[in-house]
Amino acid sequence: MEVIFMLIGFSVLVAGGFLIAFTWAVKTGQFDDRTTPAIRMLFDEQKDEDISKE
Amino acid sequence: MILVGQYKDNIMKPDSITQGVQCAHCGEQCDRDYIITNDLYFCCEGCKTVYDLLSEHDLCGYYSMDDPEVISLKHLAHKSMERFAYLDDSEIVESLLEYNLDGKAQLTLKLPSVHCTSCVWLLEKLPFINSGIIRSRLQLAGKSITIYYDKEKTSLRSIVELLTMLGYEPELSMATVQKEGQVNTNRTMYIRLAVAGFAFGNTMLFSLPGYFDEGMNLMASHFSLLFSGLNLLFSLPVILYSALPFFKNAFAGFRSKTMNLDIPISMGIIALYGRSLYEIFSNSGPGFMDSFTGLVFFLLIGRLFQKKSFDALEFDRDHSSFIPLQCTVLEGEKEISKPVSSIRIGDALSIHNQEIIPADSKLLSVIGHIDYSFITGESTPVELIKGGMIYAGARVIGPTIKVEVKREVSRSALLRIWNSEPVSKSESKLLLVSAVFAKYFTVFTIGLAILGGMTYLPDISSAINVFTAVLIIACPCALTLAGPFTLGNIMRLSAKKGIYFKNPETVMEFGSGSSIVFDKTGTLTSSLEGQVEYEGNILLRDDIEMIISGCLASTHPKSRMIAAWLSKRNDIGNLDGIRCDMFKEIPGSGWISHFRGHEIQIGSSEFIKQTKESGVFLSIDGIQYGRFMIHEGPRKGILPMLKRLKDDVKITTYLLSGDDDRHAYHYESGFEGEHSLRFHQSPEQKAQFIDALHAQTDDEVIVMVGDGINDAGALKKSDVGIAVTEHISSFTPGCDIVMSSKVLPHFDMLKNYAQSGSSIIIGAFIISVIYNAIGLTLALMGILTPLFTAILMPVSSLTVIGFSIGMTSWKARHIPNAESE
Repeated sequence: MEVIFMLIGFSVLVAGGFLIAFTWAVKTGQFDDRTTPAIRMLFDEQKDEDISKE
Repeated sequence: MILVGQYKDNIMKPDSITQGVQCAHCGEQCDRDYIITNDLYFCCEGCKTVYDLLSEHDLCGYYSMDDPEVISLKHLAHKSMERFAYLDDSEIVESLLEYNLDGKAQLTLKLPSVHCTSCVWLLEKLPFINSGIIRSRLQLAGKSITIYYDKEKTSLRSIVELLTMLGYEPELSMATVQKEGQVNTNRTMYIRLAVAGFAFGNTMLFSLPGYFDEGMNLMASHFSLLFSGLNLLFSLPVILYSALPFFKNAFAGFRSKTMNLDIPISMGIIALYGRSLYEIFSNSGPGFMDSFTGLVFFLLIGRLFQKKSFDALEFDRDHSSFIPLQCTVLEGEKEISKPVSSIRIGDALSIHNQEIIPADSKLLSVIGHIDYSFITGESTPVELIKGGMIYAGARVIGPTIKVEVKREVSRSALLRIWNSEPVSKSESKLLLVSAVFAKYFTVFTIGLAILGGMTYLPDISSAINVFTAVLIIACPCALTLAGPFTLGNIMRLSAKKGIYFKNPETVMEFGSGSSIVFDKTGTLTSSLEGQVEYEGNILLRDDIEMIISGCLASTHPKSRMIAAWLSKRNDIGNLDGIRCDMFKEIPGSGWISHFRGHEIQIGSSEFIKQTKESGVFLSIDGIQYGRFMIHEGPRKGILPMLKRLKDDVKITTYLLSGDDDRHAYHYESGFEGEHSLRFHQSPEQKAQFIDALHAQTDDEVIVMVGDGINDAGALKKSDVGIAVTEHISSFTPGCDIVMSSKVLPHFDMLKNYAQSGSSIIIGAFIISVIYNAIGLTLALMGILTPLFTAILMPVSSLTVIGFSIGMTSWKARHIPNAESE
């Protein structure tokens, strides 16, 4: 059963990693504006004529 | 140029000239005077310029976007870019920049006209148009753009001019410059929430084994030390970081000797945490760490919901939002654009048509027409002769005038209106109620906890058990969630309907409003087109300019309305060049004027046609053209709404107007008798009227509905100030609620809806009291287990949240949505 110690260690590590990732995302302003990036990703770079065909 | 060709298919080809053509840029129906280039039709020079600009940089893909709600630029074609000259002043530029290093600079500008996907596309392509711009990023929700540019290659002025030319004029006022870098408090909020959620999830996991019967599950006891230790570890950041705002508020409440609900919450949190620590260290039980982290998590969600304000709206405006950034100073013969802050007493200023006067000044021109409607609410312009005093905030109508500054900007009369009273509004009644509630609640809980504990004496450990259990379970978490979620959801849904609340308290106050005071001009009536109608011969551009030239010279309000309507409808922005050669007004009849060799007559039917008909008649060179019908009545749907308010909702309504009582008869049916209709009111009188109402009745909640700065004093004095605006993004005086003028006809429904908020909260209170009663009974009996707490607390919170959101959404179903602009 000693494997539990390791498993818990891993799970906390993974969860903590996500927490740190989220904190970083918030601090760099990634949650400040949640509408524009969703629109922006649909634009093609340069190839403008393709947009209307979508 | 394939792009252009492909795009051309989208344009409606003109079948015949009479049917009209669509502008290739904005898609609006072209008037008679369109411009044709390369088989493309443009309604104005501005649209053509933008089209050329886009096609030159291969950006015509803009027009093939799904739904390009392109902005019409008609009015811009005539506006001069000279007004941005002040952006060459390095001091102003410095104050606007966020970042300025190594020849590169970054700044964020507010663009009120941003509205759709196409805007994002175009504005993020700015580097293609101006190579000095390195990067541009648009924030659609906040209607702002962040531009990073090379100072060597371009200047702020050329960027602003480019934006303006594209139809996105940035909002630049004194307020933009003065504001400090705003710290995004939402970010901290998110992190606090994330930490609490992270700890909540993990402690739940590690607490679970503790809930099983230890005899059945040996593993639990085997690892209990590890699990307790981990729980302790995870709870630390929650108490030290996530729960901090509650402690801070509670401490602030203690210091200022005002009770708030954060005091019992903090008590509950500390009791919960303290007891868990004791159990873990004394090895007497698993503790309540999962309940503790869960509690903080739910409380923070409620707090976040409460805090979510509307980014696009500003409620707290001060005078600086009304004063322009720059003005034209005359130095000898030269006109120099200068920042307003550098104006000194004695400077000569040149103020153009429609510009606002930045400081109290003396008129130097022979004659000047000044519109004080912004300050006094009087819609008729005032005619001043040389030497007359003009106060800051007034708008110039008609020809450019010269003035001499008599008082510094910071000491103008406009500011005196603003600051005539200290900004302290009587403390929000909701806060008072909740303070009283918090006081009784705290006293009751502590009393019950002590009493409950006493009954178990002399068994000290049981007594402490019961004492803490009561504090834990009585923690008003469900109660504190009820308010934010109910009111927050009402705020969110109301925003869809076109009414924006400053904060949750305002919803309650608005709902409980017992007297409503309406301003007339601009609030119940509309200053926009729609009130003037024209019938008769078609007017060409030349005709329109002819009419405007005369109307501008006339001081009659009807002439003013016709001029405003015509210039608005035909987008003639610059009225400077339109000046008539001869003008003669015949009081009571009309006027005659000469313009470019034509004779224009406008006036009553007796004056033009020698008949008796209603309307304002027009004749050019002796030929009768047609007539203007002017409806100065209230907006559509206003009177039925006023009637419903008076008869069904039983609310006392009043009308205040800076105007004379010419049109009083329109409103008689909507108000209770003569005493509730007041005309000739100055801004001070309006504010005094609100004070008088306050004095009459102590516990009444007075709602003031107004627009313009002339109501600013009254809006501030009232318990709830509502600013009505034609465009939500345009500026409004400081107020509690911003309301789109489109929703005024169902004002009563919105009020009822806001009122339903308090009954929903009471319903949610009852639910949480039932849960509390169950929990308290168990706590007093001394059988409150960690497992039970871990279930009861989230369940009661979730029920309250579900009830609040469900009820508020259900109640909102009948209110029509505001049409999107």
